[in-house]
Amino acid sequence: MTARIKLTVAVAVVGVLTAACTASHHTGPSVSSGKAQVAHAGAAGLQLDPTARGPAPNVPGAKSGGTVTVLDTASLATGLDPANAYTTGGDEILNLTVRTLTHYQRRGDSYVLVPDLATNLGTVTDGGLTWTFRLKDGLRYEDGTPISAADVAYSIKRSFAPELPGGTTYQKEFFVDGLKYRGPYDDGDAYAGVDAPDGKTLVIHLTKKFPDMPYFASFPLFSPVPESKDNKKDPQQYGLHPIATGPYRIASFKESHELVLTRNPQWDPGTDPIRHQYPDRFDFKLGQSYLTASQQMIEDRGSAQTSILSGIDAPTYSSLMSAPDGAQRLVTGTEPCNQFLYIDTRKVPDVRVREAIGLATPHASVWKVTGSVPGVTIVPSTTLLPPGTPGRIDFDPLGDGSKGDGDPAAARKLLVQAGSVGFKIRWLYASDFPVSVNVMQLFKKAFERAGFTFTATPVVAEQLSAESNNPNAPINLRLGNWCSDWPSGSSWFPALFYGPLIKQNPHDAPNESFLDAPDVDAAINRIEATDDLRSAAHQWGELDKLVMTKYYPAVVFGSGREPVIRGAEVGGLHVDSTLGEPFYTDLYVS
Amino acid sequence: MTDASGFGFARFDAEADLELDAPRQTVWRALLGNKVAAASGMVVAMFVLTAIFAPLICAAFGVSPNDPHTELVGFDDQPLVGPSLHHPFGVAPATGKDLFANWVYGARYSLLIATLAATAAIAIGLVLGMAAGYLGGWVDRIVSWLIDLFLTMPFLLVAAAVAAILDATVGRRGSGAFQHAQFVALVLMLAAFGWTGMARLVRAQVLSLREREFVLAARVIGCSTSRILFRELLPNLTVPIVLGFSLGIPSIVTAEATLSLLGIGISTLPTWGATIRDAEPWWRADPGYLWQPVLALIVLVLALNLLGDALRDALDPKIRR
Repeated sequence: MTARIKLTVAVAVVGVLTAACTASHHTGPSVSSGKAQVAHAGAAGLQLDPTARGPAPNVPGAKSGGTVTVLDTASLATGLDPANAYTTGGDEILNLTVRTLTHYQRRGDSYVLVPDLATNLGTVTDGGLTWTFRLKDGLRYEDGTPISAADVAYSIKRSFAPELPGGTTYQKEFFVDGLKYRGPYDDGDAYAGVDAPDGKTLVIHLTKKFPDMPYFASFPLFSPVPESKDNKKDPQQYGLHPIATGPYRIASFKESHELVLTRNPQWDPGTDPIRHQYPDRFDFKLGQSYLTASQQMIEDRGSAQTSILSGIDAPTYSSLMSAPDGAQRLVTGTEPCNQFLYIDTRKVPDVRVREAIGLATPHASVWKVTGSVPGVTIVPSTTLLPPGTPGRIDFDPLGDGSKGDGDPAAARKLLVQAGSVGFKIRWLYASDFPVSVNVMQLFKKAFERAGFTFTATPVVAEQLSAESNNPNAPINLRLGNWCSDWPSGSSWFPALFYGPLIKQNPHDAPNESFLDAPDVDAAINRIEATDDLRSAAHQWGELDKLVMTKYYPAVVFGSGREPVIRGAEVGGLHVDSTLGEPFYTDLYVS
Repeated sequence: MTDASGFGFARFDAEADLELDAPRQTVWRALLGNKVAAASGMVVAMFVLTAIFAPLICAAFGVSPNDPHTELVGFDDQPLVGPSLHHPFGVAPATGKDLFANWVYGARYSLLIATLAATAAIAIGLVLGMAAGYLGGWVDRIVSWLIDLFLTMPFLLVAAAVAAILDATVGRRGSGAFQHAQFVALVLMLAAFGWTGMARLVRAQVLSLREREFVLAARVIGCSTSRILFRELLPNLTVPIVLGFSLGIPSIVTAEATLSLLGIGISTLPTWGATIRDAEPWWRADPGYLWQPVLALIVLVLALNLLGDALRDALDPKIRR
């Protein structure tokens, strides 16, 4: 599993403290705002609705026409190819132009998985090893030609091609011959994993059970790609102009500069339960400087009035809040991400010492120093699963709510009990990045106050993530940020706290706590094989509590939130909590 | 920064007679009589004293640089306290670090780096300039070629390249030596781009001096070359040396701040340039944060320049401006 990459200002700041840097696992319909009001659609708590039909419910007050400008600090330098799209920003843009087998429909603040191109969320047979999707009638490309299931199969085959690197890896892990097949350019069209027996039916064959398949089917690689439009000599060309099936099509695309989308007349709203077509045009200004863009948004004049900008840092937040209508122009929403301080359980074997580290952690100070704004870019969280994950149990292992500035007295008491006063914390920081230096100084002060000793190893910023990812680095704490690919514990525990990961990755530290607990591993194996997603969700919640109370492998800093600034004339702005990006398809110009 | 190469030395008139014509007392009288010179001298002296006694000053106020006090900032990262006796300049947003301590240490590092770099630049310029001027021939050709070479190299580009190389070598090893390496590299780099003007000037001076009677006399009685260079010629180069310092230091202060601002100076010290860089996103929300180092730089550089100009006028009354 690699990571869907998230690039925003807030994360760029956190990226310094996190070793995982800007790369983060992503997605998943988590729920609403902090005080979760879960939409009980389909299976209770899971937010699946296989019966949803188009058109999408109207956005109240929405008007047609105008241009929405998106000031984007990302560059989209890798293009917009559905085969390897794996950035939250790129995937959200693709949601305007391409439709996938399933996707998420906004219901208030919740995002519910519904059928998009398919008529339902997939039918599973053959003991969980065969998934069948049937396409809706009347689906067309932007040029009017009908969409065939074979085109979706072709798109899936492209995702295996080494010519198109950096995409998801679930298809390689779970699909038949997934590790052998090298895409249509090297290995031709014959691939046993997908099959389109007629123009409307798509069949996927698995090697092992994958109950999360309906979630995975919302990724861009499950959109149709007509083989005739693919340049087989240079497959990367397709990413410059993926053929549209959604409400907008690409009018022009200059990487790192500008992407213009205009209406797609062939899009039929009657078949689409998710998307709208309010503005005439979307204009993505790419590679913007955040400092300049945020000033434009604060001033809110001219074209800034119809623009939006993702991300906020503390200075911009202060300035925006002092602007007359600034508070109304800031929209925030959930991001399915958690920030952790992983404790190397090999080097800190005593769980009491690990809890003392948790108690000594100066949460509030870290937020301040990293430019996080509580409630706007981060919310306190005490569990490994972020708020909104189905099955999550809200509990607080240390009783400090993961806020405040640590409790040095309580931490010292635990250290005394463990006979480990003066325990040596080994920290890693980037000496040429001021935020990283500030964070180091903060932890030094906090840990020394609680009775630890503290040594810090400096590296240059560009080495930080590699050194933190090195299992043999002379450190015992690692900062990290993780976002789920979909709202399930299966996007967290098998990737972060699974013992066998340690042996499988001798040069890498996906399991940054190096937690190697047989009971946790057995639970992960058991839950992953559970067909009933509802039961699995419940079990992941229980496992979260077990891991945190019995092992305490990581301090939870908090869960991410995505702030977006809008111009005064932009309406319908919501944050897509499955990606932590603005939900473009509901935007309109008032 | 347009005058990055050779720094302030370009303001000499290379043809000017830079011999110490006026006796010392005359120089002092000229300086003290000049109100601008006296005032800028006092300003410079204050900065120098601040720099020297930075630890004592900080201790007197009970503040220290690089000490985060996040309890002094709110969750919007804005400072909760304004300037007070405890924090004369207030505290930084986000970290709550004391700005007075940062400012005082900024003066210390700025002047320390500038003094070291100017000394090194003058030493290099002096030696090479004297050698070229006195020995002539192939030595002169090589030195002149070196001067031209250094003058053609773009300062910022080289500085960025050196910083990147340090990152990739010393920085990658993750050792504490990185900061020292950055410091040494910065001083050497500033010196490497500062010596050319001095060398040209000294070379021109020596070219004319070596034909003078006292040098000829020394040569005739068989003095060694080094004796002639250091005992006969050097005392006559006091003016370029003094002016080299007084006009070179402000240029180097500016150059160092520029590098720190661009993040290619010393990354972990609270220099003024680094503070300006940190304060940049706060220019609207917390303007004082940005103005403190900027004003300090303007005042110090202006005072140093005025003092240097006054010194030049006093040392060489023949120059009429």
